[in-house]
Amino acid sequence: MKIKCNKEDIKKGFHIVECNASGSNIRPILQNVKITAKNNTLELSTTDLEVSISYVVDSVEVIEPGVVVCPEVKVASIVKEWSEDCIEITEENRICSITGKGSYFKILCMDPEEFPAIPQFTNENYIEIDKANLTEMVRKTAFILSGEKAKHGSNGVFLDVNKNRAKMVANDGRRLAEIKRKIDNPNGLRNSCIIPIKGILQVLRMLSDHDEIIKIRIEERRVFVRTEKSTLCSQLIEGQYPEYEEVIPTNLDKRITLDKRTFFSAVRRGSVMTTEEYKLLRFKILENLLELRCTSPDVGEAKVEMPIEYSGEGLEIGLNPDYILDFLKVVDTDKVGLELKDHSTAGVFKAGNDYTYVVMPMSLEGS
Amino acid sequence: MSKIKVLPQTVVTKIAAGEVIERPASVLKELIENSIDADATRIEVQLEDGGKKLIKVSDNGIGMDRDDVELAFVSHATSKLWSDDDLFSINTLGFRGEALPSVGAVSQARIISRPRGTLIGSEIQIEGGNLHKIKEKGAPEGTQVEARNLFYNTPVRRKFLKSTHTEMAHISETVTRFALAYPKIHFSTVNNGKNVLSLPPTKDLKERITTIFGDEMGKVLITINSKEPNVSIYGYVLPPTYNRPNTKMQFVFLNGRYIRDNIISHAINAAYLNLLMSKRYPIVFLSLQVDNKEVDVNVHPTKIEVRFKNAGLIHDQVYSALHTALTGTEFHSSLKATSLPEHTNIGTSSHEKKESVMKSMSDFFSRSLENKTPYHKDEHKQTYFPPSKTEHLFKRESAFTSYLQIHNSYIVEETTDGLNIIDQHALHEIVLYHEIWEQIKSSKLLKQNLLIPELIELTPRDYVTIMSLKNELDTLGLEIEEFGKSTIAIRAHPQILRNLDCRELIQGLLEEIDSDEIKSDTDSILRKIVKIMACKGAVKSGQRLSSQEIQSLLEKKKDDTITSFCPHGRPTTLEFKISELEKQFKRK
Repeated sequence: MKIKCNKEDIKKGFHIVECNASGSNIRPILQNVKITAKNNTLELSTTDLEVSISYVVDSVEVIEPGVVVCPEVKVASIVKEWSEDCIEITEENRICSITGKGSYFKILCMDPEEFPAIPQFTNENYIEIDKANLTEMVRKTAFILSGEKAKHGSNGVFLDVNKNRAKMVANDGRRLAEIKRKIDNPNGLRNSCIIPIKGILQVLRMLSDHDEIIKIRIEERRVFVRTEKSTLCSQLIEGQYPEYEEVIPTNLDKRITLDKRTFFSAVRRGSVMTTEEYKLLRFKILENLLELRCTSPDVGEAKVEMPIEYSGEGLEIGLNPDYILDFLKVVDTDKVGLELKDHSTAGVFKAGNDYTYVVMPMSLEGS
Repeated sequence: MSKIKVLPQTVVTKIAAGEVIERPASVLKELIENSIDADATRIEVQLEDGGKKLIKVSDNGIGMDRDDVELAFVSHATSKLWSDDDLFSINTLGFRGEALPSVGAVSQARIISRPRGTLIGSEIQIEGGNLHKIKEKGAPEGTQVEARNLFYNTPVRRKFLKSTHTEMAHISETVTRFALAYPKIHFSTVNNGKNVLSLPPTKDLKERITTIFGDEMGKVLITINSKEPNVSIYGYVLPPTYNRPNTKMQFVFLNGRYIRDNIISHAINAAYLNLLMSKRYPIVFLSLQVDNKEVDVNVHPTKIEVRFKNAGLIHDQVYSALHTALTGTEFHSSLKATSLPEHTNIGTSSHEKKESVMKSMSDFFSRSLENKTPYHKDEHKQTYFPPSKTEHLFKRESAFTSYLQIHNSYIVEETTDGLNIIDQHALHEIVLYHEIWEQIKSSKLLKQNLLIPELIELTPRDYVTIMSLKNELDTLGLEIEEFGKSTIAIRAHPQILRNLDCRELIQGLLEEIDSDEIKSDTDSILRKIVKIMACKGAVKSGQRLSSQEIQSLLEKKKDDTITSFCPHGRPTTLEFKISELEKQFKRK
């Protein structure tokens, strides 16, 4: 193999396929990148068998086509630090050489045959979605699963495609986020899948690219997310996603609208006194007043008031403030709606169009 | 002709012998018992081929005169029991008059005895139950009994004898038991002319333990002493760091007799609960003096089992004696068991016997560990005040924060005088355990309700077990509910156990809790569940921790309520002193 290409193009490629398999010490081959040169393009691929990503660098001068498999981290660092505009990569007898004016690098390569096959995107039966929409959907749901190590509920994000609407849902058993957005679905596909958190977070990284329209193709065992230059393929979590719609309460009679900034600050201040062992913030809704209280046995207590518009029946409910803050961090509207029924029914937050966040309350044993 | 016949006497004695005599060690046990009953102060055991060929016990006891020797091999002939009333107040080790005849029935046996203060002794021989004529014989004062070719006339049983090595193991076990029960008696054991176990008289049990098991064990013995009317308990136990995979190192003596008793074993293990890993057992040497009227020893042919009139009282007394002794002692794990750090035991109160288990538990956890925190060490050496929480907050900034996670399982922490190696799972486990228990006690247990209940399918048997624990689990913040056939739904879990895998917890409960245990008292079952919860909810070994997580874990370790053992009794921290390092590197 022998190629010449623009440094910036290949650098961007390495940024996207980077580290997909880092930390995987089970199979050393997975720490390698596969570089395929053909037809004036260069394809970079990495995989950890669960999620694989490829990126195609175009307008490459392919002098001699070929395939190289070499340590991703090494090549990436060389490319990142490359000071010249043009970069030349050649491979001969399993030695990959990267040469410039005043420097050269020789890297020992692996046998390309040992590199796992990367699933190929089939250009049919896909849906199309705006990059902005997809980013928003992922950002507003995946946060539920990214922090915790728990295995409550399903450790994946549910994607449901129906006509020209797509839904994305995540839950960890205690809270749930659901977002609906418009899609382009010329074939009228009806499909759904559970994407593991690892795969969905990679999607977020991949979307930093410039493309505007994203193609998604759901297969039986895997899902493809494809931009113009990059393709991600993630295995799916098998099984049925719970009938989550049933647990979103509907007959909620106490409705308030909150100013996001004020509410965020109130919750943050109110939760100062909580500890890891005692994460409880009591929300008390009174006439035109929301009162947040926390009495932490080991630390102290806090009370924060904020004005609201409300004239109905009073109510007190205990919630984990972290769950509220997590939600408010991804909200980009100024107003947030909160609907409640009683102290044991889940609270439903609404922000903007078609974004619902459900939080199950906590109860204090003995009170 | 009738089919039922009265068995001939020789067969009867053989059958009876079968109950008492299984192997050379059982012969030896009977003979040593006789010697002890005869007030011997020196007992010599001579063996050939681990007793298979010869067992000979010589003592310097009171001896027997000619008439007694003649009766010695006669069934149910004994000098120890006179009437049936005596059966219920037995003061001697033997009493049935079965031992010698049994030995005589299955071997070629001989007794030579000369009573103290007389000039001439007598000798009698028996072979497979056939008594020879009594003869006069010159002999030292005391009695010598020998049994040759054990089971020579019952070839089937002889075949069952194990290798000399195995039989010797049983024999030294037997001798060890007697040696511990009678520290003042000189025991010596010789096999094939080779000295096996020589135990000169010692002044007390402690010295004898040291002679048999070594100085290291002798140094760390914890004294047990408890006196109640009718029952007094005396002996030694070892810190939980010394433990065994079986109960063989639990020596319990009742009025000088080695016994195995489930009630006492249970009390011992209960006292070590939370100090030991499961399937590990403590080492104890306990001698119980119980009024003869309170106990029936005539339950089992080899008298290894006894029956107490009031088993509950005995259980409680053993438990509380051990518990008090153990809670009064602080344990440290050190990389080198031989150089245990000095104890600075401050602020532990003695425990009343009848204190509720709950109270003693919480006290157990609040035992000070302040000498583990270098920062506090100098300041509070003289007077110890538990630092208040707020004080603690400020101190964190300045405390040592040099640490490293190795193999994703252990945290190495620098201390002022060395380093600690911490088992992350064990430490987190005990932290959680304590926190959950605190919350339960102060009824401040936070429960996170689940939006989507977690369904767990069980086998019908497991389902019943779990459902019968429903109330206990409820108290602990784990709400479960029936969900159709053999399926349970988890509706809420304790907030503190965010990372808990409910499925794993339920499996853990099923593995560790037997259905019979459910009937036992709520308190112990609660503790057990909390233990399992803490175990399943804690960070695992092999789990990478962020530096924040490590810091918060280490801060909790400094909390004065944390013990150095996880609820299973594994040590959480190994201390390694810089001075030891220096020694190893030959700097000092």
